[in-house]
Amino acid sequence: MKYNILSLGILFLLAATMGACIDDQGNYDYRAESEIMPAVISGLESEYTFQLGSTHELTANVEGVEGVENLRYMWYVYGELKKKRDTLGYGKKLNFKVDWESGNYFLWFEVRDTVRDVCVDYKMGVTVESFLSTAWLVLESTGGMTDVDVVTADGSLKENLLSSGGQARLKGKPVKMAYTYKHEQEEEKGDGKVEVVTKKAFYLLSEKEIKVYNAENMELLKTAEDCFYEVPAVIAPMDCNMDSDAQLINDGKYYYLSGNSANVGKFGYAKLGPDGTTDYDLYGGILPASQAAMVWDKRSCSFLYIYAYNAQLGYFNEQVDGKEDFGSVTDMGAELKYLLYRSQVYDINVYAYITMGYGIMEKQGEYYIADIAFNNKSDYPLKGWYKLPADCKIIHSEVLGAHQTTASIFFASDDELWIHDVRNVADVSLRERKLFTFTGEKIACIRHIKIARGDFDCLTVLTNTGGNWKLYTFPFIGGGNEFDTTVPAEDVLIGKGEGEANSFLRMYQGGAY
Amino acid sequence: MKKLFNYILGICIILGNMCACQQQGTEMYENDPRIFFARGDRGYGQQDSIMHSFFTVPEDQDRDTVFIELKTMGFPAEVYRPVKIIQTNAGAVNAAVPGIHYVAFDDPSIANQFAVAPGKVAVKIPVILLRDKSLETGKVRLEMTVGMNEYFQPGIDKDRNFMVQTTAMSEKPTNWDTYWIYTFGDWGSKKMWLIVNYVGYSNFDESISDTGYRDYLKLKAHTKLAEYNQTHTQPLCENPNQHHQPGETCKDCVLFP
Repeated sequence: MKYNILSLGILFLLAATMGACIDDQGNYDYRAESEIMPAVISGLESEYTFQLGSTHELTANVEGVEGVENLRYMWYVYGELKKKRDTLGYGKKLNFKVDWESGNYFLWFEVRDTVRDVCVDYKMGVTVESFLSTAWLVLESTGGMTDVDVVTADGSLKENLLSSGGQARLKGKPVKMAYTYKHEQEEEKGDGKVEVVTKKAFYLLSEKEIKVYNAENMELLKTAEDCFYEVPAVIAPMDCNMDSDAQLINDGKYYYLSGNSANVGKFGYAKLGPDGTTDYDLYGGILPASQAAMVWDKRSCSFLYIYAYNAQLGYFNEQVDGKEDFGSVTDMGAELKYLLYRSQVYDINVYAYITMGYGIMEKQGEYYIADIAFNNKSDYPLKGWYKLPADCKIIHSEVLGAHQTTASIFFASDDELWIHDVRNVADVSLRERKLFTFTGEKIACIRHIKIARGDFDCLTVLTNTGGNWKLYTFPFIGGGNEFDTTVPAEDVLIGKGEGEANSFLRMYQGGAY
Repeated sequence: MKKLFNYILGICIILGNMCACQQQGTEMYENDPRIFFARGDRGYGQQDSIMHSFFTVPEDQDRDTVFIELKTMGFPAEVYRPVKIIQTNAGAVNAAVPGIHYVAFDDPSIANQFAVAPGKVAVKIPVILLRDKSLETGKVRLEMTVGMNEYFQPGIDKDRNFMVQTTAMSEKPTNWDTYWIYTFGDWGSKKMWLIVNYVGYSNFDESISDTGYRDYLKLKAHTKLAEYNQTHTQPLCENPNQHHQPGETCKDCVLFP
């Protein structure tokens, strides 16, 4: 009996299984998307650029759904800086104020049948800019106090961003301005809890102060006292480099703040020198690399290697056998006159970015150019060593700027802009030549700015005359180091303002150059 | 016979189930104020003891306070409700002695802090520990329990007792090998002394999420160690018997990673 029941059961299951596979014609009915949800959206652009704080009205035209009920029209935004979808409003018309951080977003308009839960949407790219995110920022001083002037994208000038906004100028003359897209800041929320938020920020360095400002609106985020867990005895900022990590030289000592770790945007204690003590005194310049840097110690007359996670600065290795050796970079018996950053280039042979730069060196009354190339390791960092003939004008220059891709250095000689080709040729006329004269103006800063995405490749020169500054840009021709030297100065003038300027930043497409 | 047995078994099961469904009377809570030592979940927060060391207290400080949290059962009251804490190991070997190792709980300077404030259901009572000479070579224990008074009866059984141990000898923090080792390296008595007295950090129980601050502590420790070694004839060393020639270090010398 049991056997019969079991047999019948198996037969039944077999029949059912077979039946499921026989003559299955399916019931597929492919229908066009427009048939299911026939809404057609028009009247909107695919790309928008909005100024931070501006208000806008967008109106969508929706056709093809006449007579359809239960429709919902919705606008929402998300993007890199708004990772969660943020609903802006409902209806075909949207009035809104742009209060998002500057950056890139996607704005969506959606028409949804709320009964059938089907929708049609339209995606718009939105770039939000603050007046600072596309501006030239010039660090200048009046009466020995530092402020920032701004030349906006439309060429208009805003003088004294700090003092005109009711904020104090920085004490002392300007040293440097730097930008970071990732500054961590403690903010007290309404419930009294402190939250760490990421801000885009400017570091402003003067001879006597360091302050951090919100890069969207110049709100003061940190004073010098807030920038450190323990404020150094002397605040004398000399140089800084800001990327995801922050590097600072203050009073000859090196400070590092890792951007890859949980932090509150404060520097810790200065790193120790190569002998494990604080007995070192750095030149005010940093050649940055990934989680590393190269600096010059005036006390030991050595280039020093810095790795972010080492407590001590270290010496570079000597050259390995078989490779061209230009002499040790430790205890060089030389003085570094100028440290020039060129660029960082990815080297597929070592799978790392190589930091390129030049050092103008004086050794026993003779001058040299150290051609520097180092990755983030302590490998021997010189790839060239060029003796400068005594009549080279570059020896006496105090304002220099390297071309990023060609072996050349622009420098100031009185009111003249010159170029020096980095090569071993005895004839100085083949190495140096005058390019341009800014009659009666003193050159304060020279920099090659190259923005690949922005198709911007210019030599930018900042000059001072009679308590006023002027900023010029000379577009390079064909990616090389040449530009039209016959152009009238006023044709390449970006802006001018009051004050004695020393440096500038070019804000563009979410970055600083 | 088998059928009869199955029937009886079925009837028993049905009757049993019916009984299980009988309505139960609701137990109503009567206000019965009790008190017990608070205990954090999953090992976090206050547990059943505190290991204190004057080693992590600046050398010129002769007393240090630890706080013990008590929680109440029952409704909050509109008046101050004193709590009674009794030392249970008085007279035992290595027992803390009031007035020598700690300030007595009924001392007028702190007695009023041994009370649950109106409207509150918890209180943190201070235990003021005193730096006695004997602590430099030994440890003392202050074992205590919650007592009964007109306001409270002892609460949860397993949370009625608490212990505070103190010493002036160096004590390796329990979280050193899982936490601080990444900032300061291997533990050592002299290393900890330097961190407390030169770096100025002693709160080893806390967990710091700000890695920038930990980096700051680490670099400061490096710097202070360098300063110490530069200003002393011998480098800071865990081995008190080791003699160092000028500039010489040994495997026991204090180092930071």
